[in-house]
Amino acid sequence: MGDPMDFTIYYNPYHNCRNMTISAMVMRLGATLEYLFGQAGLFYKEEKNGVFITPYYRSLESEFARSHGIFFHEDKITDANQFITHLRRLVEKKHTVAVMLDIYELPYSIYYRDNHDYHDIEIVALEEERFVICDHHFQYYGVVDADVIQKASLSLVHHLGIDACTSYYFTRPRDYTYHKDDFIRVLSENCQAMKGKAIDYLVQEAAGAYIGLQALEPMKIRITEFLTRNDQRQAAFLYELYKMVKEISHSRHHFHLFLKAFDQEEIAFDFLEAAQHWAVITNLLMRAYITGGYNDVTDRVERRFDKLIEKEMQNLDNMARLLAALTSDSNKKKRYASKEQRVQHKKALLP
Amino acid sequence: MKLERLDGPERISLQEGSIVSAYICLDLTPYVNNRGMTAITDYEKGTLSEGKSSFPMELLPTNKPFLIHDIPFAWSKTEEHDNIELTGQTLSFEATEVKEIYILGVSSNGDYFDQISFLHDGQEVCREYLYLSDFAATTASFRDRQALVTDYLHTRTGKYELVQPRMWLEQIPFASPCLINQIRLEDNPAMHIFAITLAGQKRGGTDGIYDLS
Repeated sequence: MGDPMDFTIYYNPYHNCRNMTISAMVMRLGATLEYLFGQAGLFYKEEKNGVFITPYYRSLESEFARSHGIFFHEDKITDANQFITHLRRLVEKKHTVAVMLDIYELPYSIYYRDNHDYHDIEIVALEEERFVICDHHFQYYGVVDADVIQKASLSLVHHLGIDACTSYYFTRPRDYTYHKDDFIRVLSENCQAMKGKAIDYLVQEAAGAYIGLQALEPMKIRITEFLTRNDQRQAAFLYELYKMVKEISHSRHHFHLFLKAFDQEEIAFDFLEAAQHWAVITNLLMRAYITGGYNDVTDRVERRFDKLIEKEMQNLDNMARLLAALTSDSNKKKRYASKEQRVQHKKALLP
Repeated sequence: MKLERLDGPERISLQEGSIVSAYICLDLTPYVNNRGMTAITDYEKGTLSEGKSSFPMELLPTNKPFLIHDIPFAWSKTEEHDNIELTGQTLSFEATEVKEIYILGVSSNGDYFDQISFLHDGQEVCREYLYLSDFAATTASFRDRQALVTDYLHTRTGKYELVQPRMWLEQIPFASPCLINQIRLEDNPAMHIFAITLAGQKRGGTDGIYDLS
């Protein structure tokens, strides 16, 4: 770890604050960001207290360990004083550490003393008794008192019900070279996910769920019916919906970068378009949340859903075609390889 | 809709035979529906983003027209509004043979693009993409170019010096000049247009620079 002033803010509007912080941290460990966020499936399930919608089928932590050689370490400490001591110790050991905080207690934030919400920041150094932080989401680099960190982490426990003060950091014991087979695997899994297959942790959640393309129409109906009902008591549900739909948009955006990193420009643009469609719906949901005008956005959401359904169908076709072409190439190479071997073998048998 | 003539030889750019070309700044006041500029006394009244963002008016050009990359633009301000938040509007204006369109605008909460259609009497003549980067971005994400940058942003809490907001210049060229009198926008509330200038010409004579004011 170099001079604290070497740390720069990593701002990316296509990440929530957690993934933005994670990106900044693993980038310091040498990871290539374009390869990290390739998952772009779709899963929708009605639950007792709302809905569960996600584009992701593997946890980021398991994906990092499995495919990038990056290991996630999380610590939960109930005693706030011990928590601060723990943070200091990690920073002294040259780690940068992410801390989960309540935005309500961050004086530099525009939401200070306004509303409670989860927020992740990165501690990058110590300056005597104080912490040097990068708040990537708010593009803030500066020094804050330990009291602020303590208060803001405790506030999550008191107001948003998490069980203890929480921090995490990453290690990357060895370099990992991402290659074409990884690309094919991610492409194949996204393809399967959009065709309706439950993957990894979603397997146990699959009963009663809509997966892949088949989730789109039910989601459209669920969301537009909710908006039509105009039940203002459900604002918290709307906010959760907004966050989940936004994550779908982010996933398409990052998969577009992933595709570009492997020179698939044309299909990448289609995913960027899909990301935009999802983002428009996200923005309309946020508008409804802020203004209370649920009915004002219903038709607009429905119209945009129609466009995105068309685009998602097209994208699955494109993915399947690309996958077929890539695996066919790969199989051809395998066949040629074995033919050469056969020829060599025959030659060896000649008198 | 009123088309505004911009006098001055530097703004009458081309003369090709009997056709005179000019920059025509569209008056968008009938369509503005959003507030993206605020005075310091009204900093909390911006609506570019849900965080009440806006450009500080005191740092923006005040002359009419003002030049950005040598292209003249004019703001279209009403008492409440100064830009078009895209909600699927159709902008109408006098028929113009357009070679290029210049748009000043921003996106909020990310970089956005969407389709934009050019029409003549309701018939689509051509369709393009309109690209506008995030006002909080430091570099353009698409083909758009930086037009303006201010030292700080206005938000719900006042001056926000952590972000230097940028307005972007999007240039849409046509393969060949198109006679159009309408522009149809998509329904995309994250995209905002502050000014549109047509590089256009009236067919049939050197005296044909529009002056409909």
